[in-house]
Amino acid sequence: MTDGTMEQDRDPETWLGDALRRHADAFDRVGPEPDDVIAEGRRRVRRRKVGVAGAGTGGLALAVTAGLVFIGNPTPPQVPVETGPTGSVTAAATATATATATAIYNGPSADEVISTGTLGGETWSVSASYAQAQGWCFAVAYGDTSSGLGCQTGFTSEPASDVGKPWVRTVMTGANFVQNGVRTLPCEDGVIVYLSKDVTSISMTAPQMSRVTEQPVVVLGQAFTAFVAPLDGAAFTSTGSDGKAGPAEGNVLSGMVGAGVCGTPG
Amino acid sequence: MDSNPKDEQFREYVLARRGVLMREAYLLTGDPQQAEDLVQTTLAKTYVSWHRVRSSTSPDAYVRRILINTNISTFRRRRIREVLTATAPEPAAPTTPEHEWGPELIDALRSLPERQRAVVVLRYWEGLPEAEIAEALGCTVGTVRSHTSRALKRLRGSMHALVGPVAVRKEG
Repeated sequence: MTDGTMEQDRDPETWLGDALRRHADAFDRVGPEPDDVIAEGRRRVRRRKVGVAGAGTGGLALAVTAGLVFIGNPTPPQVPVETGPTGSVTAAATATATATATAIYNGPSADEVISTGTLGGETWSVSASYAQAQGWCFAVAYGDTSSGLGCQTGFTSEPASDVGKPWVRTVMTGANFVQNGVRTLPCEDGVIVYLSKDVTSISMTAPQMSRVTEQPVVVLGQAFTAFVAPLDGAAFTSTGSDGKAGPAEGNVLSGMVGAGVCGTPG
Repeated sequence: MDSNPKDEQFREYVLARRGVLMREAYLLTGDPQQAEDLVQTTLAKTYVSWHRVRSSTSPDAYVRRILINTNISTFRRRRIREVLTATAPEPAAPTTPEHEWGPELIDALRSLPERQRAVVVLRYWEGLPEAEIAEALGCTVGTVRSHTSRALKRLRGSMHALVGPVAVRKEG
């Protein structure tokens, strides 16, 4: 029996709400399993939330360009970093780069060491164990001053404390690391190479290399351009404006999610 | 999978809310498979931001916003493959009881622009006030009202075209 009213002409709160509820209630799929979601979430975290500690100018360039979380302050002088596509970073940490790196290497035992920094106007305060619990992966930037001889001996110089800590990776920065101009890069996933404006050419054995920034990253007044190369074991040569190979502004991040960085020489 | 307090909290949340999210995603997408993908992606994003979600005043509202934004961005990516027509090429004979629209309702919903569709679902299925809808969509209350008005007008037209005027069964 009907009262002559058309369903669609009734109060939409009634007819539409009822219709939607009936239809939605008949949809009885369970939805994703929590552990599947967590697994995907962790993959996303590892892709997107990579901390950079012990950062000099190279670490800052990595953090800014790749949209990473920056932790720690640059070795002096502290400077604002202007960037291309990902906003700006002004380092405001209280811990020194070396202390931050040490804290992360020491893992949860160094909880009391909190590093702070700002990225995109948001302040981050992070302890090593918190970051680990979040599934973050840390890149510890070694520059000439902090790693010294290690820079010149390549990836074998990574501290033994890295072993068993997959959330810690190392960035080699500084001119010394690639002072010979040619290096084989033992990266598993890829490398980002930043070139200073003084570099006039670069060649790589990698079959693919694409530019990833639309405009140069500016660090300490020097312009860098970021490239990414998905490769495994590539070598690159850079040539400076003086026509000589190196000291190159290319550095690599060892065997992690695909990032490398350079710093200004020294 | 190893466990920690954060994951345990998140598991509880997923188990408690995934059914509602699935139904909402189904109404938003009109497709079971897309609904599953949308919920999976939404919850994965939620996991990434879990500390913020958990500490927000309304975690459900936070997740709802992720769901809607994800659907809108996904829709934009796939719309070049999706061709909407005013009428189905071969309309199926109605098999539902008089006032129980099934596929017709979903078809009518899918004919709406995604933000209008979201407004309809949030207002008439979730029963949210306009202010909360505006927050979820990141727009003003006035925009919500205009979306609602346009959506209802189009829905009425679509439903008339698809199934004709439907008489209301008088209860009792």
